This record gives sequence, structure tokens and C-alpha cells, in this order.
Amino acid sequence: MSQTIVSDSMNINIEQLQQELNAEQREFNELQQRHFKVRAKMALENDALRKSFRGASDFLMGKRKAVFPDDGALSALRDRGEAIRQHSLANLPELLERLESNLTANGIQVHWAETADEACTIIHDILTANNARTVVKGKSMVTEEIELNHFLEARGIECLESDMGEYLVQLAGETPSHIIMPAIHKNKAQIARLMHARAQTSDGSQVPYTEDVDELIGNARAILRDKFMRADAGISGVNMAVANTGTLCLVENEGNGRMTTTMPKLHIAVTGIEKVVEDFSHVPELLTLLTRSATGQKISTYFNMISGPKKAAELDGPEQVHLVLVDNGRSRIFSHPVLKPTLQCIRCGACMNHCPVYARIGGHAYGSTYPGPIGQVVTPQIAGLEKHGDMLSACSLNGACGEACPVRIPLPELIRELRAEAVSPQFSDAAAVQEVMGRGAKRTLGERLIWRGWALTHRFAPLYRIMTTVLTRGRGLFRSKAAAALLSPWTDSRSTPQPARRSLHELAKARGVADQYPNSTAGKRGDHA
Amino acid sequence: MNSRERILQRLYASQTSAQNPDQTHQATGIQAEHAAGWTQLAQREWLTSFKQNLLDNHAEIIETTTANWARELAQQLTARGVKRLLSGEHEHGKVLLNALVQNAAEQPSAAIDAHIVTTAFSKEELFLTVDAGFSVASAGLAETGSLLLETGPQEPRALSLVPPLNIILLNASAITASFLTLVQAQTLPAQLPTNVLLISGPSKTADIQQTLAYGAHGPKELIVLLLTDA
Repeated sequence: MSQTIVSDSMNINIEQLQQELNAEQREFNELQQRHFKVRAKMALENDALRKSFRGASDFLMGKRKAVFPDDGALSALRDRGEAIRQHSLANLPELLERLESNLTANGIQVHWAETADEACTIIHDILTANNARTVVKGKSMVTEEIELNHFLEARGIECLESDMGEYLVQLAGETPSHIIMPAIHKNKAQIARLMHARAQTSDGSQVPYTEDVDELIGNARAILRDKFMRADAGISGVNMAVANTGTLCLVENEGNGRMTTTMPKLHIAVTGIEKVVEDFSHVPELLTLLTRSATGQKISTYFNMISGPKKAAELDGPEQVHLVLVDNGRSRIFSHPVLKPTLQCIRCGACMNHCPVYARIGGHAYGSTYPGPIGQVVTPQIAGLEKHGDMLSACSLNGACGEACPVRIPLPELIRELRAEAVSPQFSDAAAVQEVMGRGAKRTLGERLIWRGWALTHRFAPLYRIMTTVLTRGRGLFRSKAAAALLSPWTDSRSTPQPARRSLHELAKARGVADQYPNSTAGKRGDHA
Repeated sequence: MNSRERILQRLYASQTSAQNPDQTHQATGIQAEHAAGWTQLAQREWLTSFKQNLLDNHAEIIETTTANWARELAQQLTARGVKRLLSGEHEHGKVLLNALVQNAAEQPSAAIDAHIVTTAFSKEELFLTVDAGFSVASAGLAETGSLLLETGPQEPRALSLVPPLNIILLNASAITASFLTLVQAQTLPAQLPTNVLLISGPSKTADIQQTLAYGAHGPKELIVLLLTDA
């Protein structure tokens, strides 16, 4: 990556800049194919990236704190948010059926997709049935999850992201690094180079080089407004779907969400099945929790409530509105007794803003659509522990995410549960209990033997005494070369542990403390055996 | 069995399975207490809070009266060099058009090409030629400084979205504490209009290095005409 910041457009060799950006994109793609640990290491070594994420995390945490001045009020509101979301989930299938019937009555067509591929196919079919060749997209994480852009572009449909951050990320050929601020990993200078090298104005000319944010936004605005005017279809996400009124609610600041859902003749909304709420009276509290937690705003610039396509007497609005309800693993999450609260999420991003690991490695290191704590919980459940189980290690269980979550998802507990799932034996009737995809994928013989041994030594006093004797008398061995090699994963970045000269047991005995259970060999069986 | 049936079947099955006994929230009174600790503003604070929130979000407020607003707005539009304005087909739109005609008679150089839209309009025209859109809000929310717009045949959706200057009129008496109180009071029609909006400022973004920029995709400016006697 070029570290030079050129602010004089006369000095920029456009071809060289384009080559540099192509190289960066290749580098990005290659890195996304590598192992999680490699990506995390690369991210930690990238100063510009760390500065971007540190700055953004501090900024967003500060903004959130400022709009929640009263801890008591915040706590009461979080209770409400949790209750509303749990109520929605407790009644999920009924509410989905009610939502469907009320949307249908309002003239919105409802589709159900079990998998990502089915969702993409449904959307593609709607587009082709309406001869739609160009699509503008409002911000939608679920369409990132199902990789809709690739699917449609491979079939010759232009699919343009219109959220400013998403647009920049798409222009760079990357993926979002944050669910609310997708281009959080890029600084002004990088965006200036990107716009200059790759963006084209509506008359096909090159965008002048500028690092001025207002000018950068102005340039993107001009390009995208032209697209809004001409696009055949708009595809958006949904923040809440209200069952009782058949209403789709969208939260946004930029106006691209309204453009997407208002200007083209065809609007397709896509949402995970968990986003339903029962009643309109549940919306205000979730809305205020969402905007305050996400960006520290009392409310977003626009709150867009859609209850139908354009009526005959109306002068504008889409002629057709569709909703695609996406399962893609959610009904499986729904069936898990511990992991079910995963579905309470309202996608505010507060957990990642508050996560000390996310602030250091950034969003791309996770290698998943959803980064940070919620990503660590959602992605392994949707895509399988065998593929994404490694990211579960990127957590110190400090609890910051759980404390920030506006709907009180116990994220640290869910991460711990998934870690356990990853090393637990598969159920004998796996299909019947709908176990987490890839359960047991991280189970290794070595680890099992160590835990089995650990459990045994703690169950049988003689074994325990042998172990403590060996460890205390042989403590010198920890300084040996062999031990260093064996312990290197731990000791590479930490000092080498060394057992004490005498065990606690011996020390206590020397001080005359009596043995409480002199002959006991009983103990609780370890969970890990 | 199709996808819909399979998804619903799985959800219903796990709702009743022994593995998933958590049905506690089904019974609890979700409709009961709304965020007990979340303080609602006292009525005497509504107006101040409404205005302050809008100003914080980069909107302009013109406090005026039923008798004067149209003339004041006409002068403002002239001063800003607005050439073309569209309004929905409502009483306020007609009053504004009259004032603009009068203004042009006194000052021919300041004539504004203003129309009330009654038929579907071309997108090109709207995007490329219209400087300002005029809308009327049906309520204001003090806690957030938001304007409630109920779109429909008399209030097209795009007038508050596409033109760079967004003008919204509101009667001060229509200000209420918050979105929550508005919803609880059930002032919204049971059958919601196809598109209901809360607007709380001009469009904006902070997607480039957390630097705030106004005029992202929608209006660059928002003028709120607050009728203090209505």
C-alpha cells in the first residue's frame, strides 16, 4: 500500500494509481482466503488500519455515551428492548404468518427463502419478470450475507450499492468492515485515491482528485442521484417489520434508503425472519435504542415506514413492493436453548464498537459478513463451526459487548457456548435436535486426552500428589529447550510460566493446617472429559 | 412442502419442543409499562426541545404565523435564488403559490416557477430542474426534533426527498412529546398511509472518516416553518 498522500491532482499518474489499487484489491482478496490468525496478524501490523478502527471505536463509544446520560433510564430502556425482542421471538411463527397476511392485504408480495441461494433466485426471478437490468441497493446486511451482488452480477444485472460507505467498499472491490459504517477501515486519503481512480461521473469522465470530505460526498452524490433516477429496481433491507400493520421500517441518514424504496418502479425488501415485531407500539423504543446505540443519535434523519406500493391516486412511489423473508439458518438458531437470543439482535453495531479485539484487528480479519462479537455468534451458526469456528478465539470474555447490547443479548455467554459446541461430541441423533452446524469441528484427540488426564488427577488424590510433585520438583524443566518449543504458542508473546517450588498443599501443611478430607478421592467429574 | 411451510414447521416445532421451554415472555404483559425510567418531556419543554433538536441536526427554523408564513417564505426563497418549486395539492400549497405570484408582481426579477403537482411527474424533471419541495407535516416530536409526514395523493413522497431544498410546514400545536407518545395516543390512522416518514434534518452521512457532511443523497437543507399561532 502506498503511504504517500498526494494532494495535488496534477502530480497523480492515473494509470499508476489504478495499478496500485488493483494490487491492493488482489492483496485484499488473497488475505480473505487465508486463515483467521493470518488476517488478524496482518491487521495488527497495519498502522493505518489500527488508527482507523481505534479512532472510529472511540468516536462511536463517545457518541453513544453522550445520548445515554442516565444509567437508570438506559437500563430500563434496555429491559424494554429485551422484552420486546424476546416477545417477538416467543411468538415468531405466528407473527410471521400475521405479517405475511397483513403485508399481502396491503399489496406487498411476500416470499420465503430457506437458503441464501433460494433468496437470490427469488430476487433474480422478480427482477427478470419485470425486465429490470439495473438495481440500486439501500444498505442491507442480509443481502451481504446471501452475497446477492455476486449472484445478480453473474447474471448480467448491474447492482449498485448506494449507501456512501457501501458504495466506496464496492468501488474498492472489498466487503464492509463494520455493519453500520462499512468503510470505517479507510481514511480520507485512501478514499480520495479510490474515487479518483475508479469512480466515473454520469457523463463518463473521471472524478477530480480531492481529499475534501464535502467534495468527495458531492461527487458520489452526483453519480448516485443519476442512478436513482434511472434504476429499474431498488433493493433494501428492513430494520423492523410490524406484523399487526404490515409495515416495513427502515432507519437511515443519507436518503439513499428512501431513494431506493421510492424512485424505481420496483422495490424488493429483504430481511431475516427474526426482524418482525408484533405491534406498532413496539417500534419507538426499539428505534431509539437502535439509533442511540449505533451512532449516538437521538433519531436518524429518516425513519421510513412502508405499508404498501403506490396507490392508484398517488403520484409517485414503486408500483410493486416485495418482501423476501430469509431463513438461512435462523430457524436452526431458534431451536437452540442457549443460542436463541442471537436472534434478538437489532444490528446496531454497539457490540463491535465496544469490543477491544475488534478495535485492534478490525472488521475484515473476522472474514465474515458480520464482524465483531455479534458476528462471532451469528456467522458460525449460519455457515458452520468448521468454517468459522476459529473467530471464536478472538474474544477475551471481557464482557464489554454484553454490557453495551441494547437488547441485552448475553454475547459473552453465547461465545462461550459456541466454543463448547465446537469441542463437544456430536449428538447421536444430530438431525433430530438440530445441533449447531459443525458441532465438534474443533474437537482434537490431544486436547481431549489432556482434559481427560486433568480430570483424572483431580479425582484421585494419589495421582494429584504425583502431578504436583513432578511439577514442583521438575520446575526447572520449564526453562528447557524442549519445553520452550512445546509452549511456544503461549510463550511467544508472554513470559514462560513456572510452577512454584512447593505446592499450596505442602505450604499449608508446613504451617500446620490440618487436612480437611484426608482420605477423600471423591470429586466432581470434569465436564471436558 | 415448500420453503414457507418448512420454515414455519421448524419454528413451530421448536416452540413446543421440550428442549426449548422458554415461553415465559409469551405470558408477560408486553403491553404494560413502557420504559418506566425513560423520562418523557414535560409539555412546557416541548417547543424548546423540538427546536433545539432540529437546530442540532442542521435544520433551519422560521417561526412565523398563519397570516405571515407564505410571504416570509416567498422572500426567503427569492433571497436563496430558488428558481423552481413543487408542492403537493393542499391548502398550504395554494396559499404559498398566491404569495409567490404576489411577490413576483412586486419584484418581477424574483419570479419563481412554482407548481402544485396533480399528476404523475417525470423523474428527470424532478431530479434535474426542481430546487425546492414544499410539504406539510402532521405532527412534530419534541424528544427528537422530528416531523411526521403522511404521504399520499396530496403529499407525494419524493417532494421531501429529491429537491436540494426541503421545506416543511408545521403547526406548533401539533408538537407532542415523542414518537412513543404519538404512537400510544393512536393519532395515526389504523390503516397506515403507504409511506409514513419521520424527518429530522437534511440528509447527511459520516461514512468518510466519521466526518459529517450534509446533502448525502437527499436534501442539502431543511427549512421548518413553525406556525406558532396554529
